[in-house]
Amino acid sequence: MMLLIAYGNPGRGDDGLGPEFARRLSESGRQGIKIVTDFQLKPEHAVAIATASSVVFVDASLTAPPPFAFDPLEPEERGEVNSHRIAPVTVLALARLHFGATCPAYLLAISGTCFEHLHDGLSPEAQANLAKAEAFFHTWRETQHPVLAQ
Amino acid sequence: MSEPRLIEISPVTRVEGHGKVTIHLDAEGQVDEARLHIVEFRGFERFIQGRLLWEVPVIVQRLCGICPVSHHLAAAKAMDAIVGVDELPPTAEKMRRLMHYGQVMQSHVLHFFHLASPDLLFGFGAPAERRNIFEVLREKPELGRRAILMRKFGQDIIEATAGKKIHGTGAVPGGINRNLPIETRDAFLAVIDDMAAWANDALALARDYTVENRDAVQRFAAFPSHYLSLVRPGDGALDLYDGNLRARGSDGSDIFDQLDCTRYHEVLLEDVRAWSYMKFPYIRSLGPEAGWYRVGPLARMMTASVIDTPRAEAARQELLASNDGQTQHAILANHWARMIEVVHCIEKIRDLLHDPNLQGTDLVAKGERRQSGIGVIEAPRGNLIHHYEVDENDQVTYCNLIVSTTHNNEGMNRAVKDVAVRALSGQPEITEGMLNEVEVAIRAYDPCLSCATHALGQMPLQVELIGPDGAVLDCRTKDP
Repeated sequence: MMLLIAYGNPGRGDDGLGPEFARRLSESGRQGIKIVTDFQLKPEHAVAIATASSVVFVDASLTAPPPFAFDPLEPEERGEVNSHRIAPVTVLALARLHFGATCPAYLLAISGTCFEHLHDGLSPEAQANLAKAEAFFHTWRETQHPVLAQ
Repeated sequence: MSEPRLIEISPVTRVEGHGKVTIHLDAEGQVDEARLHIVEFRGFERFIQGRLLWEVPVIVQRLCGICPVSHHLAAAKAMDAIVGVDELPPTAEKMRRLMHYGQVMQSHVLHFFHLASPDLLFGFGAPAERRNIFEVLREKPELGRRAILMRKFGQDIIEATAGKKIHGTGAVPGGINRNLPIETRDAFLAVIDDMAAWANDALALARDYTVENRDAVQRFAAFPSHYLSLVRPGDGALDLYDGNLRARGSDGSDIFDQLDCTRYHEVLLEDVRAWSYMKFPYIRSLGPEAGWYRVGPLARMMTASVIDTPRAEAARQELLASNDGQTQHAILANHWARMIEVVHCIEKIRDLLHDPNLQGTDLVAKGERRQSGIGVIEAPRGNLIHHYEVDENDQVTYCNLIVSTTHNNEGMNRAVKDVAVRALSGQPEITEGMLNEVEVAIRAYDPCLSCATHALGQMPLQVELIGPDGAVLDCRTKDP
């Protein structure tokens, strides 16, 4: 089963792009995807990755070109592990190292603009980028799993 | 004669959040001053105003993504007082304690295994490429696997008691909104022996490091201070969830003891300094110069009269004996203290899992409404105070938070200065190993610098060297 890990703090504006993506996907009733939502990536997400057929990380981004970037990932045994900051490639490396995970992985980085102020809700730019990222994801998934994506 | 220089390390790596260190050198290359600047987000106290009281335990979790449970429970305790509940139903208190022990153990595990272990195993002066968690994992793969599974165990306990891993809703004003189903309990009991064994191994690792490197540990950023924490009413035992305030002086004598938490503002004041966003708390009776103190795992080992679980108490006695029974001020002993608390939490979790009260159905108590409430808890990083006032419409009108990292502000600044003077003064060049020593001192406090946002592309490591005229002499940036 595909694993989708969406993360971010909804109390920090556009940082909530990942959780909002997951919420909408969950409400759409799509089957064949296990959705995990969290404040941020954590080392223990490696455990869930170990049993997935593929994994998609969904995060807000300051650097991705609008509206979003979608790229394959490879495990990288570098970088730091702390609970505020761990890269998807690092989690993949932990999953491979400790649990033998070798599934294909992708990062959906949705462009956001407003992270500094403590508030709920996405900026208009982030909402527009989110809609385009959603449309892309559903189309992409049809190419991956044409039956389940119905 | 060379010119005075300013070295900036921004942000500090392997510290939770965002901080900046400036080290000021004089014309002779001696450290003149060192400061830890924390960009702490102080807007939350205003953000919370106008919110309904029942919302608060959920909303405060957005303060921080790494210790949301601590804020959830501290706020819930404050709201208990506001709804007039001084004593929770047993099921509610025990479910909350279970949640808290799960939170503390998983937080400590991450800090010890993933943040601190590269420094402890390879040394502060080792090359940067060596001081990497993957180097540790390659040498000790079982260590890393255990760390992840122990983290997952703690997170699963949080999910079972709070309802969700993020934005949990378990603790409500006056109680809890769920109990622990038998099948969930049995799943935890099935692995509790593994957790206990792995915690004991980690404790031994931390103890051995501290004992085998006694001289270095005693020299590294070690200086006397007072300590503050909650202790259990009556016997003064370690209590991470509830109790009264105790402050002990650097010589081990009590400054105040068994003080009701609602009187915290009578004994603690917060100093403001122009160069920092974060305040500097101190004990009122001693004043800002002499009254600063530290909180956290080592502080709790020094303030507690006893630990009420056998393995953790035996380990605490060993820690005390390692310093000939004197108050331990070596900040690196925090790692040992942290592992003692992991052992303690697992012992408490095991006891609670065998307690039938966790399957009780009396979940919420009611009382006579009050205007204000104060909730205090021992978070993983130390004492955490939440103080609220609400109006007749149940809306928050006042909020004051003193978080663990704020309690430790003065201690962290002194640690930075101590290490900088020893490692940097008069040296012909500033090596990465030396700069890392400064960061190691800060990391030992396990500070959470309240970034609570992590979007891709943030938080590079920037090191700036600035001359006396403000010009940047050198700048290095490390990508996140």
